[in-house]
Amino acid sequence: MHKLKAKIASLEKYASAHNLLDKAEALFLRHGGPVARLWLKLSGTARAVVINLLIGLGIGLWLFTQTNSDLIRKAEYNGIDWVLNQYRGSAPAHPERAVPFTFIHVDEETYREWGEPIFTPRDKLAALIRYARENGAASIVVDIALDRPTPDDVPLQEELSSFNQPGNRTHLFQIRTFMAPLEGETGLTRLRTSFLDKTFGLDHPYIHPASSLYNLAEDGVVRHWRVWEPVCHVGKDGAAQPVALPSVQLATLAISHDQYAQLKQTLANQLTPGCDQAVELPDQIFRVDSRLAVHLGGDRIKKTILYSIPWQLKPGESRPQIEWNGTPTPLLTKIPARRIIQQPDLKEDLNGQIVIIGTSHAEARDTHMTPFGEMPGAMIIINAIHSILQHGEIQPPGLLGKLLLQSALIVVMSLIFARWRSLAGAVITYVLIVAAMLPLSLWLFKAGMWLDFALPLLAVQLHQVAKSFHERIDRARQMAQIESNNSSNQEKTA
Amino acid sequence: MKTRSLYSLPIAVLLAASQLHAAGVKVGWIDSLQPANTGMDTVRIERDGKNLPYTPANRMLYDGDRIVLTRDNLTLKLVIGEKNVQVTSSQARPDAPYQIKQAGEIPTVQKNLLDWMGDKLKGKSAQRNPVKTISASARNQSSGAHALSIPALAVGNPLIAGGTRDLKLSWQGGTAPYRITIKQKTGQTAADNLGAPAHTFSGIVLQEGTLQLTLEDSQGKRYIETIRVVPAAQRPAMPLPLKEARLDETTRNRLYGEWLQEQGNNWGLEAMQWMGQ
Repeated sequence: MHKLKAKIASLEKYASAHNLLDKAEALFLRHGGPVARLWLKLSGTARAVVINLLIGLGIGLWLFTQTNSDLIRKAEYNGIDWVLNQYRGSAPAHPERAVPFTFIHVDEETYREWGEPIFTPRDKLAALIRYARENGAASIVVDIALDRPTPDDVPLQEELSSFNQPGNRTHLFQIRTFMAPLEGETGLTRLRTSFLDKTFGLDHPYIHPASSLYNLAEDGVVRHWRVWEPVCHVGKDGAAQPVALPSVQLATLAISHDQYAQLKQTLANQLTPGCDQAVELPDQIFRVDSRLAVHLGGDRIKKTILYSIPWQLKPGESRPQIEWNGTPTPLLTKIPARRIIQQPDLKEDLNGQIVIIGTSHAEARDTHMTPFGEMPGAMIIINAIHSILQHGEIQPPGLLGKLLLQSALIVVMSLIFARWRSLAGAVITYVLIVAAMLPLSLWLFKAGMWLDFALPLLAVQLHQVAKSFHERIDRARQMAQIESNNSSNQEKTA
Repeated sequence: MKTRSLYSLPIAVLLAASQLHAAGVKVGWIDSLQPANTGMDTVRIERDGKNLPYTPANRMLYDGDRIVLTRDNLTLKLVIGEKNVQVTSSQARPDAPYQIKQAGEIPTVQKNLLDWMGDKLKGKSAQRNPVKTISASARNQSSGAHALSIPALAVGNPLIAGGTRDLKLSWQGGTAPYRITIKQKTGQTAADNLGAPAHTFSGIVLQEGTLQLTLEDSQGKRYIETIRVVPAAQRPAMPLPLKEARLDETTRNRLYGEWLQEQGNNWGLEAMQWMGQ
């Protein structure tokens, strides 16, 4: 008897919410008027559905306000990583918007062949840029720091001068680096000056500075891009001025839609005079067409990189092909830099492609953890560009959409529980959730929309736990009552 | 997420569909032919019933291509997919050519799901490597780049008029002896073991384009600057009153140098050439 009472007490501790609900129900029946009378006319199943809806949607609403809590963030990361891994290496969802990439990389073999230089030799870098430009690349992203001068910069300067020539159509994105603020420094992050600035400036029609900064999640995985960087540029004359630097993926998106000038203007409009004040990232939208738009501010989910291009293929895999200039072309072609340097007369049709020149050797220390495992920084850039060209930014459903979906799930779940109680009901609802939500999530993900399946699942699961406690308490109370009656009867008989 | 394994089965069933296959796709390229001095005409590519030569412009390989090596003891290095493949003469005979095939399957959602389930059943984590070796050391260049400087180049985008002429330079900072090098497209000129922070390159040919100047001191400090060499006609012409003034050549040039300095930061180096004459 004492054991049973202790059990009831411990269960009651966890079910105070439901006790409150019981009390609320009693209060409602006493003072609810016509609504209470209507409630009494409802069948048991209908009442269960309504109560479940109230509890489920309440939990759903609460969870919606907790998007930055550890629990929700980790569930979101796990969910997105899992879905991304199902699309790993697959053909683009929108082949008509896909552009082939060529990654020219200083791999381990190239690095050793070149004598393990501290700086990527500028004459060789010039040759790689020339190769991409002469073979018709639409854009070249140089993901190799070009801040500090070296004694052999003439070939690079000469090659970059070719971008001034009439008839040039190739754009070059120079990935820039930044100076971490010193202790006590406030205001804008400082852009590290490049020796190329004085020759080509920051407003060259074909040579553009761009940022490759990404946000690192607390588990060390790169999942989110940054859209643009308001930075402070200190010219050679010592004058500091704020400059808006687009991310490389945003700049590529704008160039590919002939809207780079509009992008620069939109970003410049966000700046405030001087470098002393930090810039508030606005919730303004940069739209390139009716389908593709990017928030300049925006929340975490919108900045998710929809990785789909792995760095290494698994055994037996090959890269997807897209129709490009009438020819099936791999979505990604990787070429070690030494091959291009060894064969200066190398010809390749790169017409309209995006070429990334970067490193993949270990000494470059440019390898980062992603949902697909480790990959070179240049591969993150490739995935970010591909993601933005394909989907713009991810579109999470709004609160109303989520609540409607949750309501539908809870109604169906309640009906199933009314029909099949206990274990059978739990198994059936679980399969239903999995069968309905995950394929829907996968499908919507392909369309660039994120259906946050973790959130409603969690709400439904929490609701089930609460409901189960409630029922166990009821049963325990009834058993205690029966035992108590039995004991008093036995005492009377004795 | 432990619960993920529960999701897999119904999804796999729901998403079962056919695989994509592509035909006539680019699958790789010919990397090199060995021995190194072998003529490219020893390789023949058969594509769509036609014989194509192997040339620098025709190195790409497509699914279904057949390769023939017309001489013995040759090795052709290919890149198929992302793997290196070696083909010898015995594997690519005229009567039995080497067949190029797509390296593998293109992953699909269904295939990835099945692979993931297989990994789960085997207890493998396909995504992350649990143990990884990292280096906790830094690799940096030992010498700073800003300890030395050439004041005439300190501001603006330095320009200098081309042609055969003397190039006078002076600098500050660092420790003697110095070495100064001028690199152009056509070659480089250097002056070594300089005890004083100044040097004149006499009769140097400055060609239009880019010139890179590297100054190094005995401690390994380095200053690097890029200068654009422009046609002499682009240099602001000497003002007429100065040209016609009854002055000796040295004074006229010094005044012209001072005037040039006022024509914008970019002409600082050019101005220095005239002021010092």
